[in-house]
Amino acid sequence: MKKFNIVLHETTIINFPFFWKLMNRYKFATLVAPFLVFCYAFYFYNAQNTIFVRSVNFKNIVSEQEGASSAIASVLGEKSSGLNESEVSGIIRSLDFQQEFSEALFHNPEFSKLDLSSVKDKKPFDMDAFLASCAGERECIYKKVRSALFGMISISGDRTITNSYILKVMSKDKFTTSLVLNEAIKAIVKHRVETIRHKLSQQIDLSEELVKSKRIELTNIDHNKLMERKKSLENTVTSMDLKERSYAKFLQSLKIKLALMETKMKETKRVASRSDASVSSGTLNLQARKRLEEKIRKLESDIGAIKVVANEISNQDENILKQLEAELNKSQKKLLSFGMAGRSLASEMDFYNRKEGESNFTEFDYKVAKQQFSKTKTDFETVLVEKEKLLTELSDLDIKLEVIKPNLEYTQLLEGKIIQLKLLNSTVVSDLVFERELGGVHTFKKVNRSKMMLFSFVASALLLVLITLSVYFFDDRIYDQFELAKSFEDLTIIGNTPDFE
Amino acid sequence: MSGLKLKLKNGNSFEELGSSEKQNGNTHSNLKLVDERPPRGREKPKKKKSNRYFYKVSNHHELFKIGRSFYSDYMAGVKSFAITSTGYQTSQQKTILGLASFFDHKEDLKIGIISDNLKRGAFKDIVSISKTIQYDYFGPDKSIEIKSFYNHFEFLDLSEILKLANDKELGEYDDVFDQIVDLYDIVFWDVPELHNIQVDSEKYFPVIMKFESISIIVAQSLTKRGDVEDIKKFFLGYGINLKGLLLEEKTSLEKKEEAPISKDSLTRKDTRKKSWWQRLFKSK
Repeated sequence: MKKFNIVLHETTIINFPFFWKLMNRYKFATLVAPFLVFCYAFYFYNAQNTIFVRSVNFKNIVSEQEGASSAIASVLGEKSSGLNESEVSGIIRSLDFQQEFSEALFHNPEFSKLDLSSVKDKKPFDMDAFLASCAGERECIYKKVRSALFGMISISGDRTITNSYILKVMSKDKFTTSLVLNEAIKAIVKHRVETIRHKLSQQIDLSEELVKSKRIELTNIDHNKLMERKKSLENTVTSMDLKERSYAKFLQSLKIKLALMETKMKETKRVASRSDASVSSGTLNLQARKRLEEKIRKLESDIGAIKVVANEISNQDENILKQLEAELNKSQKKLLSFGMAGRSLASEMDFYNRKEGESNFTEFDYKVAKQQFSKTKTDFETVLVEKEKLLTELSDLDIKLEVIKPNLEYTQLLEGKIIQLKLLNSTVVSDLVFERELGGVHTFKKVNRSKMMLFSFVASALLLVLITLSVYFFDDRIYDQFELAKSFEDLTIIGNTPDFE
Repeated sequence: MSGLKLKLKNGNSFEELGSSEKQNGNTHSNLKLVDERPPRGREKPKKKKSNRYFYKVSNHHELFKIGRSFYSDYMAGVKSFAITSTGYQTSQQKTILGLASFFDHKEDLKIGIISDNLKRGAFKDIVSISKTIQYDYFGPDKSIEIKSFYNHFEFLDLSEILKLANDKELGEYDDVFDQIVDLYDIVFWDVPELHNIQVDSEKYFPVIMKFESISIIVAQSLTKRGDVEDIKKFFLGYGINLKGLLLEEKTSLEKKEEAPISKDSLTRKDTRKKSWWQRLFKSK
């Protein structure tokens, strides 16, 4: 415990001046520790295998989709981009890929020249010995090759470029490194194409299944029939509209005509009832006047007829003409003596008589028109009711179709998607594009010089501390006054013994 | 231990505690007060002796520092200083010589150095040129040799004293040590190795009891904590005041290693290197 107290320091934890003193004291131990460490490090570095490494960059060309829908899809967790870094790195960890790659490499003519030993393995590689335990069994060989190969290959993300990755192959042999890298590139591209194609095929199958099921649903509902019925109803409603408009127009005209006839009939009746009294007094005058007028008209026609043939008028004729003219004058004078009274009464009587005659027809017409109006109105109302029924049916049909509509649209979209997928499936390419130019083959040791030096320094320092402290703790001797004072704090240090020359 | 010193007229001496003497009024007629000391501190130094020899100390500053520390103890009444280590006898001897020189230089004191290794290490040369005085206080046939180095220090062989103390005919087991200590103003004990004491602790017990203060020399890069702890526990167990630690620097040790090593010292070194159980086994 006292020794611990000497080594420890309340501020710096370790009492460095004292530790330095210990190092000086146990020089041999402090020199031996780093020497041994450095010797071991030197031996270890030189004993390591030289590792040949070759790499190639490749890019994931499926870019991020931009837009609101993709953003929403991303939020909902739907994958909108290509492979992410872990998926790309995970390609070579896929057992399917490893199996395919192993098979491909095994069938490569240069397979026997490969060195499939671990980079840590010190012994030279012998392919026959390596495969001997499998006794020619293919599955066993593939398994062995698979387990050996995938310690050599790695995929890591390129920190400087987005969506860029590095495929790296490491082995103890230069030829193996190059061959495995080339084969790995081919295998990865093939694997990706097959994977994408498989994915698309699955999507197509799934979509077709869905479409099929949706189609069955739509068939059960008989969507086409509903559509035809709708169309038929719409046509009927249209014709009904025309009919309705026609009826309405006709009914309106009938209505106006009926109103007119009704008025006419009423007025005729009223006139007829009023004429009965006045007709009896003026009838005689009227008849006389009429006779005179008739006589005058006949005379004038006779005169006219005689004058037409005047060039050969005889004396007899001339006499007759004179008589006729005299008679005409006489009649005209007589007519004039009646004055206007006779004329108005005549026209009034004529009006009454005419109206009296017409009144029977007007009433008849009115009755006919009224019946026609009534019939037309009934027909019009029938048309309206029928139309209402049709519209109700059409509305129900629309509701039904509206319910079916999403399914229908979904089916249509799926059909579109299937076409798109089929197109994609036939033109699929790998989403991972490798650079054409491969990097050179580099060599390195698993633990490089810098690491080894660092390790040596750290290990030396630790070992030095460990050895020095161990020696110190096991060494019971007293080396200086400081230690003496610390070891025997209850005793006084008088001083040093005298020394004589 | 630091009370008044009374000496018999016939040369015999003993020590009594000042406090008990005052209480009992024990002033015997045949006793002569030869050294009346103040209750605290000591009298002023006498005139210094001339020095024909000197040691050249490379770390004079350190010697002065530790010398002053011991001197302050001496002034406080301590006169018997023991120096021990984890088997570095030469370091013990050099330290004792350095301190003795410091005290000799500081005051005119009668300094006694007791060691069981007078013919080895740092004492060897000095003892070889020192004048031998026979001290026959316990009888003519029971005399011991005192090596006086030009009246600066006097060296006594611990083995001889132990032999005398264990002499059954004499029967003065503890008194021998009392008498020896009383001969000097200040005594430096070159303490034998701990395992020797532990093996024969009954023999060394009166010696240990004469220690008023013990200092442990720690050899830089050689002495182990455990060994120091053993020494510390051992002497603290006897109630000896542990003055402190003296550090033997590596440079001086290297010098010693460069010097030719005697057969004896080699044997000692081998012994020191051996683990406790090996030493214990051998001792048995």
